[in-house]
Amino acid sequence: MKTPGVGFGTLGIALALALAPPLPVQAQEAIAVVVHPDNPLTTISREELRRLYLGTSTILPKGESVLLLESATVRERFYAAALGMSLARFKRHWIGVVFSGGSGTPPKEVGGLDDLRHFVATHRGAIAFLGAAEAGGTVKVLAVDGLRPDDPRYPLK
Amino acid sequence: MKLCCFITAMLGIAASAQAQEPAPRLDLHGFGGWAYGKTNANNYLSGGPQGTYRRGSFALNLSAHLNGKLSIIGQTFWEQGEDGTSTEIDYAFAEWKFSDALKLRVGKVKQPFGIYTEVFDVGTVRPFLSLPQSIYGPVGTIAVGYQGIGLRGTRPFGRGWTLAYDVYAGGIQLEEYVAPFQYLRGDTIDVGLASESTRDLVGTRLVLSLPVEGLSVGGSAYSGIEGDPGATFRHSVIGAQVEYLADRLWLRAEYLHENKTGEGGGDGVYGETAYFLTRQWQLAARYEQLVTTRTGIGSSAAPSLLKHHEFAVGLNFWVAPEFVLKASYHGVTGNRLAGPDPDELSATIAAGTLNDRTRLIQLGAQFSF
Repeated sequence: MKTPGVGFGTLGIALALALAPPLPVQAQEAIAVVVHPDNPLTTISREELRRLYLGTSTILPKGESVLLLESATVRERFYAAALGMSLARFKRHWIGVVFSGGSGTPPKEVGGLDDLRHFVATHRGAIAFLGAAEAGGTVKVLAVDGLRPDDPRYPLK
Repeated sequence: MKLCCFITAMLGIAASAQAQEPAPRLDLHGFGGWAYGKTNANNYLSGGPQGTYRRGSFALNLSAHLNGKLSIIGQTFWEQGEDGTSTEIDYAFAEWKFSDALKLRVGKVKQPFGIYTEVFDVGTVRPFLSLPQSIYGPVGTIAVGYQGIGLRGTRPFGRGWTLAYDVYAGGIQLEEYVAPFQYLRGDTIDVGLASESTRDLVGTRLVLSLPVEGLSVGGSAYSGIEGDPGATFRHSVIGAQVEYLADRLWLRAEYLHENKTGEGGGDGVYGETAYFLTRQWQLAARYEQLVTTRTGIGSSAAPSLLKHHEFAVGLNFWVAPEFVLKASYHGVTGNRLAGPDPDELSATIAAGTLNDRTRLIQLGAQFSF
């Protein structure tokens, strides 16, 4: 009778992995929420972000009509962290909003980071998200729930 | 000189106001689908005993957001069936947004009632090719849209609580499969679907989103006058809904009660669930039933004509959130909504060959953009 066992090949791989120098642990980069530099907002709550990105609210907390933008590179992480939703569920939600005749408009995907930053910097009602290290100086980074992206307790990671 | 300064100042104010307004924007969306259906007996949904391939639909949805306040929104729907192609304006209305809590709508507006009325034919937001017929079928209770004026809005209360409301007034056009009534009354069966106008209508819907992500409960109601001059009656409908939508699990249930003063009424209910086994494969199940009463109509001649019980199971493959392939099996008991061609109903009952059990297999695809 053949019994299940561990071969030399498997042992060798396990040994090599155990002796190899540890790989640097890749921490999840914070996702910054950005608006036009002249926008009076300095902070936004997760609840407000949620209402904006689900189309429940179409006006920014300080009164501007919102223009939602998204960055394809971090959107799965953003929707999971900010809304608790998978990308598929988020898309289905907006299909419902659009066809029920709502006045909200789904987030516009802007290709490159330069284009995204430029779009936000030239549209007063724009709000977008991108990797915190990529925010640059042309847009204003908002605190989320009062926390800056470099704060260890920052919620969008 | 003073006039010149005044005009310059006014133009400046207008220009600065315009600069703060979002630019006009035109959005084009659409949806559609195709379904094959085959039954063991009777016609039901897209199916018939011979198998039906011709059921297809497509809709275009156009919205023009002229500034931050005014939007013009319209949707046209084309449907091809065994009887040819029909075109409908689902809705065409103007919306003026005072705030998120107060929006005014005027025109032909989707009737806000229950979970699915506003996305009636959009297959990519539901688990089955067809909606539960006990509430959304041709039972004369919910219209595609109302013609009139309405207010709607949402009001967040913090900590995840949000209330969405609609109030509206006007008129609606209801479609009902009336062949069973005509038979039971002893009338000539001259038409399958009949259209009735309900006027002087007022209605409302309240939906409360709870702090549990994806969970909402709500209620809807409307009341209006139906019938021809001299023989009018009040038509009132109330409904309750609960919905839970998570990444993997969908749960929906609705109940609807209809009362036509002096004419009868009905009760419809369904429960529906769907579960994603993987990102793409989804299982679905639904139970529903409808019981209809009409004053002066005895169903003893064919009791099944006023009842509809249905159990359905489905398997879906989501190629993308905007494109899904669906297959489902439906077991129906009753002939309120499943039956032979209307002009063959009397002869079928007389021959004793009316089958009150209909088995339907549906296959199809639905998409949106």
